[in-house]
Amino acid sequence: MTFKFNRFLKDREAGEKWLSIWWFLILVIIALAIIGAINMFFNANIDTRAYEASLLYDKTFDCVSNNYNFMNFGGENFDLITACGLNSYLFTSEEGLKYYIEVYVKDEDGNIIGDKASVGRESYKGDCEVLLGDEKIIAKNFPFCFQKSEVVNFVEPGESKIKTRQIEILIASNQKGGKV
Amino acid sequence: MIKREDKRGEADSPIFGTVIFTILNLAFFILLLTFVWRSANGAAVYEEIYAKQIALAIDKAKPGTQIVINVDKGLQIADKNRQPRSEIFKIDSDKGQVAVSLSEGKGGYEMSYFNNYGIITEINNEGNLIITVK
Repeated sequence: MTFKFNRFLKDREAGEKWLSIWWFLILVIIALAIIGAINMFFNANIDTRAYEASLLYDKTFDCVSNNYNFMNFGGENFDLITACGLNSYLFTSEEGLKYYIEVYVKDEDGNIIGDKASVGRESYKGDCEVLLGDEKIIAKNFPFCFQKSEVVNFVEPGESKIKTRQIEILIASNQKGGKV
Repeated sequence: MIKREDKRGEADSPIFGTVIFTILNLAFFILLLTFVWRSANGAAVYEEIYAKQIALAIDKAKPGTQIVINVDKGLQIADKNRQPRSEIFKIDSDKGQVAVSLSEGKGGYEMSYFNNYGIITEINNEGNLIITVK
């Protein structure tokens, strides 16, 4: 058997051609991966619901603790939208409903005073019970829920005794924004 | 007798092939980097950022507040896309919505704010958006 030099050279050229095809196939795969990653990264929603919920909590807590007589809290005449200066479209209209607020005020013994005050999409409460429950479920389309309880001390006009009230607030926000 | 130089073999030389290969690879990576750079500086990214920034700033503000946000980069993109200044930032106080559009004829991005305040916006010559909360 003799070694054929010309045949060897031809085979090598063919090998290089195949190598070039493989190389460009690799480049195409790299390009597709980068384009896919870039699209996923820049089309991903910037989730501001947690920060928004904390802002809504601060606003609700301020208006409930500063502007309200706790003795009659939660009565029919109490309207969170008016009392806290909230946009009625986002809390009452079916198209705009993106939030839920629920407020309880408790006395020193833990008894609820009056009734709860709530506004917004009622179904979010059930979602929040699931999310804030022991099972710690992560659900993509559920709202972001934020629950906090704070104690407020106050003195009623004409009295000297300091009274304590506990304000419990549940906030749910499912506002993600969107392309027009 | 002058011998003519045979140049037929030069095109197949290893150096020529390597140069072509390097140029093609460089072109490929430059195209890829251009795509990444354009995606990062595209109108859609800035529309979302500005809409959310403005809505959250209004949510945090109290009546009488004046908020100043530098939107210079957004204005440059809007000028490139022939979007008039008056159409870039739109605020609907009744629905509590902020809409930002940096391209003419394309929708833009929308975000709601929960406060029931009157809002006035103005763009000054220094590329700042001035939001007055009433």
